[in-house]
Amino acid sequence: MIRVELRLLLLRRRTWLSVLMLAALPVIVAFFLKISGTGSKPIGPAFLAEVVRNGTWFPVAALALVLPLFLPVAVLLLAGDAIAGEASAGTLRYLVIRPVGRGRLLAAKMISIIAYLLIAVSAVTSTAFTVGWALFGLAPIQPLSGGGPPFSLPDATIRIGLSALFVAASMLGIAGFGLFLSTITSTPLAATLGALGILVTAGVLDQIPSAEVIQPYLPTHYWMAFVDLFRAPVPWSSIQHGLLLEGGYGLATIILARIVFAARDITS
Amino acid sequence: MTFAIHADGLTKRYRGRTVVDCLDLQVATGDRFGFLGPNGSGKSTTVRMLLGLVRPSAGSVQLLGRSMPRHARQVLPKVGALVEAPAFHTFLPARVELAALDSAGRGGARRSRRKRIEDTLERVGLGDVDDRPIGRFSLGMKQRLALAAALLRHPKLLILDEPTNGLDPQSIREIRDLLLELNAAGTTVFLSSHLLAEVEMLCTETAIICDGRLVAHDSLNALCGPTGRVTLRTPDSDLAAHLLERVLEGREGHSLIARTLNPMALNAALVSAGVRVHELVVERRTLEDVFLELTGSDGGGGWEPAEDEQ
Repeated sequence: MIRVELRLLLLRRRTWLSVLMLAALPVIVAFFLKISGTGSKPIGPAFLAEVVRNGTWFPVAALALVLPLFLPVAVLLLAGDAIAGEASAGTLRYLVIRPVGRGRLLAAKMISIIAYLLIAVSAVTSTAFTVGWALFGLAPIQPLSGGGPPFSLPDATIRIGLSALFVAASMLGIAGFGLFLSTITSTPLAATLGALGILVTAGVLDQIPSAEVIQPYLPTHYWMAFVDLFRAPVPWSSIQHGLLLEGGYGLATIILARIVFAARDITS
Repeated sequence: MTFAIHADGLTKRYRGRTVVDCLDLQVATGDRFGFLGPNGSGKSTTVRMLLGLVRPSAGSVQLLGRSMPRHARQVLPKVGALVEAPAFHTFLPARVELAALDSAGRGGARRSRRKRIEDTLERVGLGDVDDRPIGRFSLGMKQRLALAAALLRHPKLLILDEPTNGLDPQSIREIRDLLLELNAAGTTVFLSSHLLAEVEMLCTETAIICDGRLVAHDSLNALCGPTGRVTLRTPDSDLAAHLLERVLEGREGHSLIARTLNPMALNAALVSAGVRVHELVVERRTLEDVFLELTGSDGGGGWEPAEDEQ
């Protein structure tokens, strides 16, 4: 089932369209940065301003650009569609009587979401790397804090790769929520929007000082922690917390989804 | 006798509403079984419970001698099914979709896959189908493809819900012939339908469900028994009418309708009195009569005052 699911993912046109759109955003941004510069107002994270001086920063900026909304939406479209989409198309009943175990089906869907994430971040990062190189040139980069010698190009490339992996892992929590919601509705869009609701709520709570107690448990809290990879020395704590939190949410939601889905009557 | 399907006290309640009520169903191995019921009578829910899609509120199901849904992993690879409308990943071509479905679960050997797909497509009349996505198929083609998906692993039991939906008469006949052929080779066929003609032409055993309850479970022959009337054609109709005066129910020219429980004795009496019997037909209840009587769809009038057949 896992192999079948991956194959379906790769055969689907919308997979590639969404990856194309994700990769296009940084290209468009780079184009405008090139013709007008960043201007006087600081935009986005500090290193975005660095981009025009050193294209090596651009993949990092690109990841930060797609992270808050674009990537989550793309992932949630997939996660929300996972079971609810099969249900609304009627293919769910044929899969279950094939028989494909319900747990196995969920696992295949989760693996396919992870595969999509890896494809998406690779596409964004490599496109941004190429564009950054072409428009702004590559150079060793200065650590964001801590001083020390600049990161050489190979060193920076490894850090960019790790950043991309961290960004992909950051999506596990909400992807899990999307997958869970997908098992309790037959409307893919409802599952997607429900999980987006969680995302927005988490984002808002993360900004409110009085919600400080719960902030470390919000699935979006450590999303920007990959920036720490460009400090010297790297403060690993946020990155570790982020990975643990996302992994925990991913696991918890998929277990919950498994329990709910196993008990559900398939009437679609 | 071994049963391909054995349901015992099968019940499904949705939020206090009983959709299927204590259903007992026995389908013997090798049968061609028709499962009839009006729309909304609980047919589909029953089929879904048989296949483990819907959990019964009470009662049990055995398919091919093993309990469901506990042994779904072992049983379902030997069962081919069509549950309501066909459904596919419509962006795939037919062969890719069949291969994906076949490799998604157990019991579909990889080595024989390509050959099984070609053979099955050939069988359902889609042998020359091209690589266009299934979304562009006609309803009839989708129906055939769904049947192909059900037949792909040479199942021992076929559970088909309205398999001829959307097919033209020629195709319906082809599918019926195919099902007869498969049944002759040992496949048990369970056909759920509201189309009486379809069941009448294919099945030997039948069950009728109405409002979630089973109202009949018998062979088609037994259900459609004699009505106790015969139709007689004779050139000597006046003489015959005179002889049968006490049991005569109707007369139209040379055609007489008489009530008798013993057509042989009646024939013998007519012949010995010199009536030349041209035709003597025992009137049987049609499946439609039985169905409408049992399901009360005609307002409860029953079949008894059946219209005379021309």
